[in-house]
Amino acid sequence: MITPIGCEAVCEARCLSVSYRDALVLHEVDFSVPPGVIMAIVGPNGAGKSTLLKALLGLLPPVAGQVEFFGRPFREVRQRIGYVPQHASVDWDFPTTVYDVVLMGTYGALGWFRRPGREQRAASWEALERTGLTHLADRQIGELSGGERQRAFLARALVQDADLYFLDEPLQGVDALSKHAILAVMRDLRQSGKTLVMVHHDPSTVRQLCDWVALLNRGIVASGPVEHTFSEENVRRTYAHMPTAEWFGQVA
Amino acid sequence: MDALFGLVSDHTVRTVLLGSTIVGFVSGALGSFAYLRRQSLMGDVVSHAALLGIAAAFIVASLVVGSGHHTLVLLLGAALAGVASILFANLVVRHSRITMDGAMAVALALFFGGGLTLMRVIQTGPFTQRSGLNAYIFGRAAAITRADLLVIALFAAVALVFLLLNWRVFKLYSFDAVLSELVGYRARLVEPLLQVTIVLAVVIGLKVVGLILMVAFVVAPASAARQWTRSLEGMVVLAGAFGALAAVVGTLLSVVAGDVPTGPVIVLVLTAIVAVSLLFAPRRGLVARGLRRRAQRRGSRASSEGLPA
Ligand SMILES: Nc1ncnc2c1ncn2[C@@H]1O[C@H](COP(=O)(O)OP(=O)(O)O)[C@@H](O)[C@H]1O
Ligand SMILES: [Mg+2]
Repeated sequence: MITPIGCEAVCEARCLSVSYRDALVLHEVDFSVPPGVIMAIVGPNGAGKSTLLKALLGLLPPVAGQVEFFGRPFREVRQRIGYVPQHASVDWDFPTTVYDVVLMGTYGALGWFRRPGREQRAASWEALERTGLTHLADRQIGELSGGERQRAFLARALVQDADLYFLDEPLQGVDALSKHAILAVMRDLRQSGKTLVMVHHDPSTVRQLCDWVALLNRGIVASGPVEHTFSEENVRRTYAHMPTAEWFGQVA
Repeated sequence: MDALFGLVSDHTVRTVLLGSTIVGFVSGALGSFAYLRRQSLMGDVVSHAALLGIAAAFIVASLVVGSGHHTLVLLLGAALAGVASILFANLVVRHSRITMDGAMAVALALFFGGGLTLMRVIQTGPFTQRSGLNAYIFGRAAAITRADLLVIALFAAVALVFLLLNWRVFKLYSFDAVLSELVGYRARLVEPLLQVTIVLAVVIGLKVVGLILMVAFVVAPASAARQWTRSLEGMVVLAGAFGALAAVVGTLLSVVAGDVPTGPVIVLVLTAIVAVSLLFAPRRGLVARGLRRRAQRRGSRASSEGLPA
């Protein structure tokens, strides 16, 4: 595995503050992602993990602060960034098939008027294969299980062929098979030099799955390589008012 | 049958038929987007708000060129008022705690009230040709003229061209506005484009079915079409076809029956199409679902009987 220390960050946020109407959710967050890692964002419910991803991607206007990807503003490099939202808030009864949803991942690179061609269709089939959904390509998306839905949205991000992926709790509430498939794809991506940032709900598996971590609770508590940063002390500070002892036994 | 052919070859009937068919197809097709985005009521807001635009355009045209009854001017006014009502509803949502359905009700009341007031002004003022305006409230398909038909066709063509040019962007935005925003199709641009397209499809129907029933042309074909298809492409085409079919059948029925207004008859035909679709569509229809459930029950009973005790 590459040691990311000293490399230029693929995502860098400085002094990022975000609020919903008048409630400040994130306060002066400094956040940096080194290249080539699987990074976990860990924190209690309502810590602002999803909010952080949305603010980084420009889906929420920040109150203050700057964000850069690969040293550039988001709008200049949007094609290189993929996003898998937390239970995608789409209409699951929309008349569309799994294949069609995955193909939508190519719309961005195609631009406003160009139609998907052979290259885009091939990429979509490949993404379906990598996520183990080939046999479901013709299904209506509403007829998928939770895990299959998550994999379909991962496949849609894959066809984009991004360099940096943000995944919001991709493993939450999915079946074992889907979890396995998603993790395999993530490791595969890291292997080929991509960077992944994953909001993760289960602190007990961070050591096993990730090599970089940011502990978040309305602000960054600690951030760095898992071996150093993911200490009992830091985790306790992140979950300050939460009953942490029971699961922490499994971590240490 | 001969009588029917005789009817269709009649000039006036042909104009009416053509006009209502175009309206049925375009508002059915575009209505799919309003339906899928759960904004069907937007059709109602736009058609009611249009009255303000029509009345205002009539007054302005009367004052400027002496006569107010130009279809193009009236429908441009209608479209402007329709767009304004949507903008207004969006503004209310953004700057208050009122939700979209409340904001739409406010927009409808405000614009329709304004329209009624201006109609009153027109009624009492020194205007000529004002009697034609009532056609836009209750619909009077039989009064569609060649000039009306031209304007309807023009607006319909613009709406269809918008739809085809922006097809993928509209599709992506309707399904997943977040991804649309991320890949660079900004909601700030796509939303107004889509809404203008829908507004064009709504205002051309006013003279055919009237502003009160227009919402049926937006919602009914889409909800019927949704029952039969598995793709957005299929849904939009089928909704257009249902709208056109209802328009043709409804127009002919009302002509044959004599003194029956076209709009309500078309809406009744639409209702029949929706009822058949809800009941008998394969997979999604009530009958198909009932049969599936019964088969499942029988299957599970059979397998539980087959189990060793
Ligand atoms: N759309 C919203 N409007 C207002 N408050 C919100 C909204 N989304 C999230 N919040 C609030 O912001 C805080 C952080 O939410 P979120 O980022 O979803 O947390 P996490 O993903 O870490 O569980 C929570 O207190 C939540 O209630
Ligand atoms: Mg979250």
